[in-house]
Amino acid sequence: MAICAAIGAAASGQVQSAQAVTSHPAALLAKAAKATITVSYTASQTVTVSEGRSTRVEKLSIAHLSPDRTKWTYLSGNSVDRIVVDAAGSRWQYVPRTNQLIFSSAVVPQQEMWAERDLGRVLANYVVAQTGAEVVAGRKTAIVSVTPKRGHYGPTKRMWVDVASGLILRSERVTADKRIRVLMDIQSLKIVRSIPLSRFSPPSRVRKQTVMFEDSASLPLSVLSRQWKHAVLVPKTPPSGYTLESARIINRGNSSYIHLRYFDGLISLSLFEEPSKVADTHRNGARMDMVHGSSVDWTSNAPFKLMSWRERGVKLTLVGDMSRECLLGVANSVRLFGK
Amino acid sequence: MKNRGNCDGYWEMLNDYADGRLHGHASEKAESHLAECKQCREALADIRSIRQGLVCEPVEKPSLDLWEECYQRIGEDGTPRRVSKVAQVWKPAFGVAVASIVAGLALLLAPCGHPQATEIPMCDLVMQHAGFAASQPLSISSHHVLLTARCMEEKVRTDDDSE
Repeated sequence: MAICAAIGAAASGQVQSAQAVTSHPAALLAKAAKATITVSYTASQTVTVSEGRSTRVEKLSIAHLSPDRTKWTYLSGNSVDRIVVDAAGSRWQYVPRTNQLIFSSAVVPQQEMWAERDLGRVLANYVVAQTGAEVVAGRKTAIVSVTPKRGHYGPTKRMWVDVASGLILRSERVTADKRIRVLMDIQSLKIVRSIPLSRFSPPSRVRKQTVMFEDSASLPLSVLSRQWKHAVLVPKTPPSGYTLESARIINRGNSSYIHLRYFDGLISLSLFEEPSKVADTHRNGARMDMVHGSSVDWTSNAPFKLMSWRERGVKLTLVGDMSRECLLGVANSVRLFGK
Repeated sequence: MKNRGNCDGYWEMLNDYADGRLHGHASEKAESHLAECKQCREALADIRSIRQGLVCEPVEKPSLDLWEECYQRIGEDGTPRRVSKVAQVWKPAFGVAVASIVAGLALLLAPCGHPQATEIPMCDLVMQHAGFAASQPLSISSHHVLLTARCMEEKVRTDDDSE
């Protein structure tokens, strides 16, 4: 039902390419979103990340057993740099360099995993169109482009969707400010019926570590603000198309912070808040980015755009893939919750 | 910064600017340059980030009575002494010097331990944020999985180091 509604919404006013449409682009996206639930495969893949003049390439092999076991083997030259396995809500990774095995629970609670309903949000915020067809890894694909609608801040994506299986064989994502381009490319793909479970088992005779995330459930803001003993600040005007998806208190050892996550169906905008005894930094008359009289720190060496500032005894950090101006707008709209 | 270009002179001012020690014309000059120079703005952000990470719990300043106590201990045998004019100058000065040394030692030895601001490590932020991206079927999962995995390794290393 959700897919039909989404297709119906997409069918009205969407731009169609001049090429023959094998399937409606929204239907292709829906197929792509569900492919890994039903299709098992092995593949070799490269991910190229371009930022400014620098480019780095990640090479890996993937083994995926539907619906929910995936093994990523990241290579460094001809040797294994790291192995990461997700299996039914838990994760382990092995780093041969340090002979270290790290277990952890899933970062994302099951109830917040991407679901069919999110496709509707993608269609509401992005223009989805088929813009071509191409052969990738010997398989016919339809190219689906996803671009933000006017007034919406988000990345631009192109996905080469295998028409037979729905698997995404190539994917290109460019950040909203054109700062970072990520290109995923599958070189070889083999669809299989099954993969032995032993292939997903961790190695033995290793140095073990366990990092378990506390099961911090998402709370309504009213409940969170009562449990959190500090000011809770929320954007009065989140970016258009983003809605508050979750709000949680996260405990890490002897510190705690809250994480508000806004979502547009495709990408998240995170707001982290932690108590801060450091005084707000005021720069009167300075021609620098300011939020409510406090100077803003931009972090330039993070994979996402990240800005921090302080107010009301709280240090706030916005993390997201949108323009500087948009993030500043969100930050300046932050108000005390309930006021 | 590979090429400082027109930043010579301003580069050395960044630390003072970050500490709020620039005033008047110097401050205006720095701010004017920062408004136009992205490299220096980024360097300033890095300086601030490092300093915030090094902020410790406030150290209790030595009381004003401290050097009095030191002074008294110096002459605590109770024997009245004829204090020369030189001693009249140097004794208080010596007391102040001792107090300064004690204060300095207190600052050096004060446990920095857990950073004042309980700053969320960047890795935690990236893990939380990228973790959701990795779980989305339309995202380039392998890229986000690698980000979160590296952060996880960093977190374990940091926890090991702090133990």
